[in-house]
Amino acid sequence: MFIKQLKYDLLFGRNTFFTMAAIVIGWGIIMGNLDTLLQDDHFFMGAMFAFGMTISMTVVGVLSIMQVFQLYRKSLFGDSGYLTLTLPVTRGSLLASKIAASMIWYLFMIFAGFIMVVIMVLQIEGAFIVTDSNNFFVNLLAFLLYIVFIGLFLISVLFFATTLAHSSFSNKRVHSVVSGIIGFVYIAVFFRIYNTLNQRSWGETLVEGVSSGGDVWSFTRMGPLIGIQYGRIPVGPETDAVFIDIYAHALTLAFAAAAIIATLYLLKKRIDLR
Amino acid sequence: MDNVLEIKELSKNYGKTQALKGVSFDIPKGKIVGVLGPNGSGKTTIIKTVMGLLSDYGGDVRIMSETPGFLANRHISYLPDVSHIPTWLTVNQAIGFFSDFYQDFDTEKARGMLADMKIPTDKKLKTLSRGMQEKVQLSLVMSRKAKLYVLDEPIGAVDPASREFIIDTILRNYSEDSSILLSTHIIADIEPILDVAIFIKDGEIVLHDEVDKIREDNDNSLDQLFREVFRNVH
Amino acid sequence: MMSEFDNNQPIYQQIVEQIRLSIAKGELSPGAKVASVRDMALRFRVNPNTMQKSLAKLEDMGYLHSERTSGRFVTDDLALIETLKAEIPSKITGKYVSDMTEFGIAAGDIPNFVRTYIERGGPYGQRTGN
Repeated sequence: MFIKQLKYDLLFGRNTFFTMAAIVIGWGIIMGNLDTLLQDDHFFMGAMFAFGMTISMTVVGVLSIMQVFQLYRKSLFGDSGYLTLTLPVTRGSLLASKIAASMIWYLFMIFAGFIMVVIMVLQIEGAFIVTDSNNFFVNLLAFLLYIVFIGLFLISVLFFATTLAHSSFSNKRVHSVVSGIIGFVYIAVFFRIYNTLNQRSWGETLVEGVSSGGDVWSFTRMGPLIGIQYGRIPVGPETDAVFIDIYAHALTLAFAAAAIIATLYLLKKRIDLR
Repeated sequence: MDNVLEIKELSKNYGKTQALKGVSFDIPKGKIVGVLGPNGSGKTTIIKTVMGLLSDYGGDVRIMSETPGFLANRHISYLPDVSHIPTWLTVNQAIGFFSDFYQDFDTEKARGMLADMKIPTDKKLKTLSRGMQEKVQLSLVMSRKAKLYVLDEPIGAVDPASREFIIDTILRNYSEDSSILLSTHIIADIEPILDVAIFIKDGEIVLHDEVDKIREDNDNSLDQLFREVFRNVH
Repeated sequence: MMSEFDNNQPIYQQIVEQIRLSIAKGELSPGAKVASVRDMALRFRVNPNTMQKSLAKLEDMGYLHSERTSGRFVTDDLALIETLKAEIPSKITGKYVSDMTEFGIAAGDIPNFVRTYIERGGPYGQRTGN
């Protein structure tokens, strides 16, 4: 049942996300060839370019999450809700399938965004001599871990807020705004705790090389091999390592889990489709 | 288990408004029951509760002894009064969907019904006219061998020819092992096919009896009686 | 065979009358097989339980009989059918007379209306040719 649901949930978003991916990559191609287009070799000053890239990636992330939210809302609380919620499947199965499909599309868009960045960067001479760059792959893996967990967290909170807005707790006057506020506050509280716990800004949490001292979890590269290890971070010419902040990730997963459990409760006990 | 549906003292409040005030009735096997009342009388609230679309309610609701939820939904084939099948699906995909999720779905029957209506199966639902979409929905819902069919305003917004089609479809798919609960505020066309009529007014049952008996007792058609009972309600 | 019903009267009774009429007219031949309850219900567009009631009533009255394995049949009893046939014109006449007198036509004048109508061949004098 779950697989069948997943099939349809993925199918539902296919056109939307394929289109978005095409736009994202198209944008990458445009940005990556601005010098040719504008006939100006000196167009991209480093900072401007990096800024443009960051904005683009953020926009991709935000748009993906918004699309995911729309799909969930329509399939569960639009007219289709009369079908979805009366299927002979448990609410848990429904929610799991929606979350899985959302994560898959979210990661698909992140991948498209990554391709966009690669295309944009290709034009810079020497930017991609990968084997020389320090920490590249291990950094990437650490970044991905962060992306996945934060994405799961944000998606879960969105699901919760949407479900709350369509539950028996809400009425016509109040629903979206209050649910939105609750969701926003929950996210804000999370990031407050997250940052306090880690005592650094979220930008810094992203990628960090840690000098050896004490046993930690890390993505480690030795020669061509990459793995996860618990122990002292090795230092040496053929090795790279990036610290995996397990407390941060555990916190993210805990907050996501709480949102999911709350959403499930609402779906089972407090649903009121109107 | 002789009763397909049992409702005891069902109530639902929305803030201060009482949508349902202790409604009770049973539906035995093989009966076609009409829940009749104007808009806002509580018919849809009852149906949503039975379907598990409304969780906060007072009282007891049992479908084949199960409480509303996914186990009960195996036994119920539901036609809501909105276009509930995602319109981005093609007709073929919609058939596949029903076949995937409902073990009691009869694909051959559904295809047969759609072929009779000459509906192109490779088209997306959203490209079909409203009337055709409703016929597709009805065909899919009635192609399941369910114990209880719940039809919410099945002849609501359709032309007379379509009404005949809908009534024919309902009768054609009737079986002694299953029951039909249909809600409507358009009585005349549906009268002849009902076994039992339940009149709902302001969240309460004001009449519940076999249709022939109602006619004899009141020397009136159901339609006429309905107009009298609900004269001041719109 | 399907027709509109007067929802003011019990429908099963109206079905009984319609089927009796069909038998009298010969639309349903003596000994002919009657379709199943479901098919009949569909044809008349009524609830199958209502149709069942009608058919049971017709069996009680002797117009139909059922063989356990083969189904329901119209009666073979030609005498019964003849009696039915005779009933119908007087029933129709009874209704006609009562409608006319209700309208205020004196009973004695009624035969004149009938004769004129038939001689003229129609309500407005067209010859319909018998």
